[in-house]
Amino acid sequence: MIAKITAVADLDFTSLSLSDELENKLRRADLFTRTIVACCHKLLEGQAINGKQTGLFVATAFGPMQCNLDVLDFLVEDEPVSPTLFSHSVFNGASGYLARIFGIHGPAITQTSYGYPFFTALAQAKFALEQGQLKQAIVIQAETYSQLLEDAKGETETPWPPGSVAWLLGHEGVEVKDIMVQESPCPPEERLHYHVTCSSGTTHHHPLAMTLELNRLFLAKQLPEKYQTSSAFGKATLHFGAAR
Amino acid sequence: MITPVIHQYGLLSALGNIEHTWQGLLDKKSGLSPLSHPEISTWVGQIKQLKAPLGTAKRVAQLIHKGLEDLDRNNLDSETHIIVATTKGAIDDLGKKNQKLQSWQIADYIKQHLDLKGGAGTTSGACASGTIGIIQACQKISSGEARSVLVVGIDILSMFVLAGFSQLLALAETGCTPFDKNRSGLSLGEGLGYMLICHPDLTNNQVAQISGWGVSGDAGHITAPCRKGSGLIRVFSQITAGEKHQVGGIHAHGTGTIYNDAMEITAMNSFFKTPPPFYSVKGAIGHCLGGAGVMEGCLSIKSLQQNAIPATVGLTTVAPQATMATGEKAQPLGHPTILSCNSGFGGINAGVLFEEG
Repeated sequence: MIAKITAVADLDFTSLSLSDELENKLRRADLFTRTIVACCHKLLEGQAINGKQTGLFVATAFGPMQCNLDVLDFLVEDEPVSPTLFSHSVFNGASGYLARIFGIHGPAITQTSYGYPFFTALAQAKFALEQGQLKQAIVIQAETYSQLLEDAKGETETPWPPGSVAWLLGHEGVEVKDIMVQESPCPPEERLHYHVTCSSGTTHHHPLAMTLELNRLFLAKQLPEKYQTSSAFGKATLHFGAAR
Repeated sequence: MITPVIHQYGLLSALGNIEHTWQGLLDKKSGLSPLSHPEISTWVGQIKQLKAPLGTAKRVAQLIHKGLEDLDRNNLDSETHIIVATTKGAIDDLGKKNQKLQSWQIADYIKQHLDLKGGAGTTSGACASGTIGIIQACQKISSGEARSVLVVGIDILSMFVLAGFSQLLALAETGCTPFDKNRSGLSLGEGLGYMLICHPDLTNNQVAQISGWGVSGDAGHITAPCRKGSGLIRVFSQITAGEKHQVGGIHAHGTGTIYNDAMEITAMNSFFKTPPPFYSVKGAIGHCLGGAGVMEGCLSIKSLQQNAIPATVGLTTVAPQATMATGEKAQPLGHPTILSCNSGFGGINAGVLFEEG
């Protein structure tokens, strides 16, 4: 089976609003999980999915970082750690929520890297579809960062807006032809700058930016047949079928 | 379909390297010992050679250097990809100035340490991370994306994780007793496992091959497994592919918690007409979280080579329905294959079938 982009969605932090039903299901969830679930909900509106043959491929640079820092605060204060916070601090916790809320029984895994986690997750989903292991796959990146990260980065740098991007892969839409990702260790002086140059001519400055750009290009039916990136932490090349 | 093969493997656990750990299992030794902490009463599988404080980047670095000592770098292609499976990295250092070896940084560190030029990334599937890392390596090789992939599963003991599991009331007060009628919780451990997985054309010296794999989500609770074992049953189904592959033994997740072990027993009894012999290593080295899948995969290869399923250290009174759990002594495999599986937070389940090469 050829992997094709069937639907896409994105969500920025300011538009994070949840229905009462979702609010109820997420009443104990952290911001990372809430963001990812809200974006997936938007993606799946009007889409028919077969939960038993659908997989979840979550991508993130920093995962639920604030939640992890909140757990550490308990330790520093010498107070009992909140079990709820602890269980949400695991990178794969959010994909567990996605699986439960949307009834998805395929693989539910999280890919973590500083540079191109979405592209890596996309490659895994593409492979699973091509091998016939799945009929559909949801590839979703979310970043919520943390105040500490923002402070470390400094005021002079471009802000890192939190948000999420989700793609539904299936047998209809724009073909994902080929993905090559080659990440390399980021030089210390380049950490937290996040400068990525793309073949579109744009320079990106936060871990979600490239994915947001591809999303916008897809929605505008301008997804290029070849999209390349290069940065201090590696390069990636993606080939797509003709935009429709 | 290309069948990926294993060229090198090894581990470092509370019982030592792969040879010492294997021999320790055959001798029913436990590497667990009481944790020295005023408020958390539990036993842990601590690696004595690691001198740096728990949860720190220094400890992660020490584990990487010691754990990869046995890796034969001369037989490592420079284009080898790296997949790191971990849950927390140097979590107690998170937020400190110049923080290093957080979960998203370990793959780059190992890549530099080994001077490799292939891709590097980190996968997180909670306690199933290691097994998922092996599966991703197989997919990279099957798809032609890579010719060889080094999978490294690693996690250290940290106050973060100890405090978290303590508050979940999931820790056993003494060493854990997987599949025991009176089991009372898990014992945390630390360790590193590595597995060099290759295209079969790349080596004449394969130690085993990977004939099948599966991943499935329960789509249920965030911390508790599905009581019917639905996700794990789907993993068994994917791996055996309708009786195409026979399972000679199972290296189970076997954490020693009431719910995990009950789920696994239910899944095995539901899926197999006669469940194969199965065991858990966690009573001997503790639950090594993201490292567990790779370390247990390495021990599964040992099982194949020695035709033995070791006894489950800590198991004295077998839980009802767990009739094939090994407790007294090692047993032979029923067939020259062994299935290694793990389950974790978020309802994830994953398994790999190893076969003689």
